[in-house]
Amino acid sequence: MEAVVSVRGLRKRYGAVDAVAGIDLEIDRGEIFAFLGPNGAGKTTTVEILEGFRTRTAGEVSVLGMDPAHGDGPWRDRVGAVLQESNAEPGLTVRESLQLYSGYYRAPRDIDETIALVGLGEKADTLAPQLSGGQRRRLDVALALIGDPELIFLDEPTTGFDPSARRTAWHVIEGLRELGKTVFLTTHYMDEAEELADRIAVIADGRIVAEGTPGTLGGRNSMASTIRFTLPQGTGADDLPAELRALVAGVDGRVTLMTETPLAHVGSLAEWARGRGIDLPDLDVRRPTLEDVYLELTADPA
Amino acid sequence: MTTAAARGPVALVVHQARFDLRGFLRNRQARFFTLALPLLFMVIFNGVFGDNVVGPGSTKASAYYVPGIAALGVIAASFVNLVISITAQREGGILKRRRVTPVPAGVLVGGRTLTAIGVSLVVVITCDWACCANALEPEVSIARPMMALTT
Repeated sequence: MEAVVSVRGLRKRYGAVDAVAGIDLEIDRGEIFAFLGPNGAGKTTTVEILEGFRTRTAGEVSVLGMDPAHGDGPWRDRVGAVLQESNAEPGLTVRESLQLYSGYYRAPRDIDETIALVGLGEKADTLAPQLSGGQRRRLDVALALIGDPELIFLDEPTTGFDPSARRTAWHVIEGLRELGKTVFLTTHYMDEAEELADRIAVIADGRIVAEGTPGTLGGRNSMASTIRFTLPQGTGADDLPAELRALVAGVDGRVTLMTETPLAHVGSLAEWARGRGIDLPDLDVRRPTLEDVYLELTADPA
Repeated sequence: MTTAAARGPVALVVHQARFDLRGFLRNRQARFFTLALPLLFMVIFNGVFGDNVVGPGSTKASAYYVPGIAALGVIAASFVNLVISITAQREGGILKRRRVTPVPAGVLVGGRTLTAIGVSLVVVITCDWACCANALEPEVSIARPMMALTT
């Protein structure tokens, strides 16, 4: 696989603070890569260095085979970006905005097709500033796509969206995968990264604390699952068979068991309950969510 | 279809100016201060002082006002409008978004310049025409080169 983005020991210092304290990244062609982290972790600083907006203090960066600090016109032809905050073009309709931007590129995409791709077909002749927040963001995506770039940076593309607008935006981003684009997505939403990304890196305090696929990030695949249930009146956690009693992590109205082999233990729990003639109607078995992993990874050591 | 970028920097400046101008014309405030206000001044000043005589050459005031008011329109078109809209574009992240694209900064400056020149010309010609239609003063011809220079 060819690396589209390659970063070695990237460092950015502001005064006495390292906003980015030495990170390594490798992103392959056609991949959707999510860069996850809390506010102020260094996400946007990193992205802006990759986009060529900021200079770096140290480290090696190559984006599409070029150092973004010296990115020229032909290089910008191949890169698209949705910035964290950008207003619509004043006084221009959706179609006109795209006409304006398509003129900047040597080989742009078809305008109407791009409008349809982001689902703004019915709004093509609406003035851009009159669009709703979600629609405007989709216009941003369209503007980033119009040059038919190989690599697209999406900096928190769904922040401030209502749930249905987020779903629509996700569809658009999924669409980018089908077009074979490489996507660098920053977000602080776990579900977004889980839904969209092929690979995730978590950044906290300027350092990458974990990297992996949504399924394996931070050892998630081998982390203990929780089994929770409420015992009926007159039955206590002490009545459980010894094998299960050893797993009890908490009794707080509901009994919580932590186990790395959930199926086996649910089996013996069911056997025990059937033997006593009781039911456990609110039984639930839960794998650690990406959010649990994330919170653990980004938690302050204090 | 070849794009403006592929046809070279001049084509790109013209492309940019087309859209800048469209944005300008859809901005009610800019329209009022640049296009309507100078005309309004012309009508008011000429209505009140139009028949007065100014200076040693006994120029009619209606002609005398033309270059000054035209200059007002030119200033609105090229400075006031520019300052307000560029600031808004910078604060709104629009300039930054354009920086991600291959468009050179010079093209954006060129587009604005071309738009300002175009709008200024319209203002000056309108003022000139309004004056001629009204006052029929031969002295206006003296004012014309001056106005052209201001532009």
